[in-house]
Amino acid sequence: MSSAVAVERLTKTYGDLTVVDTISFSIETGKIYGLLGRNGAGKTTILQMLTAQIFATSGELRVFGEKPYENRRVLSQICFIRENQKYPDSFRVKDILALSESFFPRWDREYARLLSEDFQLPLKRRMKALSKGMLSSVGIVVGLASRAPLTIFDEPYMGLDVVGRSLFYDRLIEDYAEHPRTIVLSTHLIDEVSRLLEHVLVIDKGRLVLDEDADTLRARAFTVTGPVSKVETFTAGKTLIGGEQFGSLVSALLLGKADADDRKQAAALGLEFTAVSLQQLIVHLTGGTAQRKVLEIR
Amino acid sequence: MNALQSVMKMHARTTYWFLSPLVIIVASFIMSLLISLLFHGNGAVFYGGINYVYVFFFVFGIVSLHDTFSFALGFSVRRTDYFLGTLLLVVLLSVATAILTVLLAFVQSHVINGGDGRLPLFSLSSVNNSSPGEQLWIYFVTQIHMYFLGFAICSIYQRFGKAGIWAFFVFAFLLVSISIFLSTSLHWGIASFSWLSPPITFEFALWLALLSVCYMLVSYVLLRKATMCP
Repeated sequence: MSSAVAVERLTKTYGDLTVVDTISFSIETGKIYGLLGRNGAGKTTILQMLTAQIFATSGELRVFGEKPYENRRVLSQICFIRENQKYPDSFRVKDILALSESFFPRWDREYARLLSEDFQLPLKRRMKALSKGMLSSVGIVVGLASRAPLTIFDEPYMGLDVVGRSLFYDRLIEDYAEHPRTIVLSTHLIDEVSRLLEHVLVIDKGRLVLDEDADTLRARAFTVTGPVSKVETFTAGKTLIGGEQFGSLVSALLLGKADADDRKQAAALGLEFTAVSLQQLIVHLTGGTAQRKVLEIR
Repeated sequence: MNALQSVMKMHARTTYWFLSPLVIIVASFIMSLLISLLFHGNGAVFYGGINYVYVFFFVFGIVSLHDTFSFALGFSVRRTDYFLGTLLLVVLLSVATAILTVLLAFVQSHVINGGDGRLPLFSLSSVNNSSPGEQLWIYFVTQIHMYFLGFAICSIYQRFGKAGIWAFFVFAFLLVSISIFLSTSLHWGIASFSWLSPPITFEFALWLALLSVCYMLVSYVLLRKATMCP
C-alpha cells in the first residue's frame, strides 16, 4: 500500500521548548488513523506541519510523495479541519460551503446539502454568531463533503453534544465505506473514536510512543471480571496493569495476549473475559497515572 | 476551479469591502451635488470626499489580509495563490474605482458645473489639468499604493506577530523623528511638512507605482514565511 504521509525525524521547537521531538512515522493510503494523545501533546503541531501551515524546525516531511509547502498538487488533496479554524467575520455558513466547492476539487455539493440538513446548519447565519457546536458542525460538513484524499479532523467535535458526535461518527464511517480515502482523526477522546480506527499513533510530550495497528494493539491486553478471590487466583503470575473494584466484584486489566489456557482457566473460575478498551491500554502504555498503579486485589 | 479564481471568489464574498469603494465614490458624488446646491454661486469649494476612498484602500489592505489569510491557509490555499489572487482582485477593483471616479468627475465638471470648475470634488487639486488617461493612472496607482501600504504593514504582523509590528512602528517613529531632527538642524526644509502632501501628478504617480511594487515584494516575501498563528 502506498504512503499518504511519510515523516522522518520531524522536530518543532519554539525557543527552548521542544513541541515535537524527532518523530518518524508513515500513514498509508485508504485507512483511518487515530492521532491520539493528551491536550498539549503536540498533535495539532504535527498536523499543521503536514499541511504546511507552520514550518518544521528539522526533519523530512512528504505528503503523497512530495513536500507540501507551496505545492498546489499536494495541498489540493488535503482537507484539514481544525477545532479553532478562523473564518472571516462577515462570512455566513453558506459562504463557507460555496467556497469549499472552489477550494476542494472533489467537493460533493449534494452530500454537503444532506449533511447540512443532518446537522441542522443555519445556512444564512454569520459564522461569528454560531455556537461552538455549530462551528464544529460546519467543519465536519466541510471535511466530509470535501472527499479529500487526505482528510484530517483535529478535535472536530468540540462543543458538539453526544447526538452530534454520534452523527459524525456514523456519517464518517458510511462515507468512508463508499469513498475510501485516508482519514486522520486527532483527538484525546479515545474511547469515542476507537471503533473507527484501523491504526493508532500515540503522541506524548512531543514524542511518538505508539505506532500500531488497532487490532494488534487491542490484542495486547485483556480484562477479566469476577469475584475478588477468583480474580486473584487468575492473575497470579500475570502482569497486572490496572483495574477497578465494584462492590464484591473486581475487574483486572492484564497485559499480554490471552491464549486458550487463559480462557479455559477463566471459564473454570467463572470469570468474564472481555477485550480491553483502547483508551485503558493507551493510558497505561503512555504512563497515565490513573491506570499506572498496579491494582491491589484484596 | 483555478486557484487564483478561488481566492478572488473568497475576497468577493466579503461584500462589504468588495463594493465599498464604489459606494464611497457614488456617495461622494451625491454629497458634492448637495453641497453644490447649498453653496450655489459662492465660488469654488473643495469637499474632499474622494480621500475617503484612499483611506478605505489603506484600512482594507490591513483588514482583508488579517481576515482571510489564516482562513485561506486553513482551506489548503498556497500562499503564492493567496497573494496573486488578492493582487489580481485589488487591481480589478482599483481599475473599476478609477474609471468610475474619472467618469463622475467628468459629469460633475462638464455637465453639472458647466465646466467652471467651481466644485472640483472628484479631483485631487493637481489632477484637474491632466488628461483622462493620466487621471485614470493617477487614481489607480494611488489606490493600489494605499492598499499595499496597509497590506505590507499587516504582512509584518502575519509574519512576526505583535512583537514584529511593535518593532516596526518603533523603527518608523525613530526614523521619522531622526529625519525631522536632521532636517531642522541641516535646514533641509523637511520640517515644513509640505512633503507630506505633494502635488499628485502623473510623474509622482510613477514613484508611487514603484513604491507599490516594493510593498508588494515585501508582502510576498513575508507571507511566504507566515504561519497561521502570528
